Amino acid sequence: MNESRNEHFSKMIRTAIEPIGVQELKKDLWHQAQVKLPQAGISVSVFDWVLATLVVILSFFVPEAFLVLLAHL
Amino acid sequence: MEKQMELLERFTTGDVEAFETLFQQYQKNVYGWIVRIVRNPTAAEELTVETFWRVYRSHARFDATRSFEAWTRRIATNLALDYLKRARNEVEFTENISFESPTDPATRQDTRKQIQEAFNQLPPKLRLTATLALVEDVPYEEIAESLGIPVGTVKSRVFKATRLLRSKLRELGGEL
Repeated sequence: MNESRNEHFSKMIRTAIEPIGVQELKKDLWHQAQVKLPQAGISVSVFDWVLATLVVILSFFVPEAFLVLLAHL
Repeated sequence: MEKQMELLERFTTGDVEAFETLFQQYQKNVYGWIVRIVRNPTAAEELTVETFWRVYRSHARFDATRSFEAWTRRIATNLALDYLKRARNEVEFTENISFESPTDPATRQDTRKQIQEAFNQLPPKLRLTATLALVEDVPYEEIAESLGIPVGTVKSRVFKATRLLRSKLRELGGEL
């Protein structure tokens, strides 16, 4: 393929499909993004849930252990 | 410069205020990039929000000494590519523009439709690269950086896309 042929082809494409170029964003998207953010703030990992469950079970069978745990917090 | 560095470091710790500042700084840039690929303002807005959501989720992995813009653009490009894959037959080039020298308007109109059709049939990766390189005239280096691939790969994709477009146009009986 020679250069002039490529140039002609590129020109044809640009004539058929209009370049968008620099397009302005018409609104602030922060509010849309913010909707997703609180989910991140309260997300609790599986590990945390397992740990919390173990503490509850332990406190039920060995209530003294809960006091020991509190003393360490 | 130091303030920006401090902002990025705060962002890496998950600071929402720092993230909001970065969001305000870069949302136009990210949107402008995505809309050139997906060519649909509504989809581009959604993908911009999704890009920043992913950016926020990955805050701990970000290296504050590197370019936030380049990192964000790469995430945006990958999301735009996923969009093209999902909506392969829905994203169409249908812009109406007039030709500079319509010597034979009917033939020109046909050729334009054939080019649009051929473009719509390109595989998503080639379509993304060809859109940026051939339609939007984005430098190869910029495309390579946004995709995280070598410039040589971009050139090769543009070459493949051009070859496919020529072949498709020949099939459709278009003039080359």
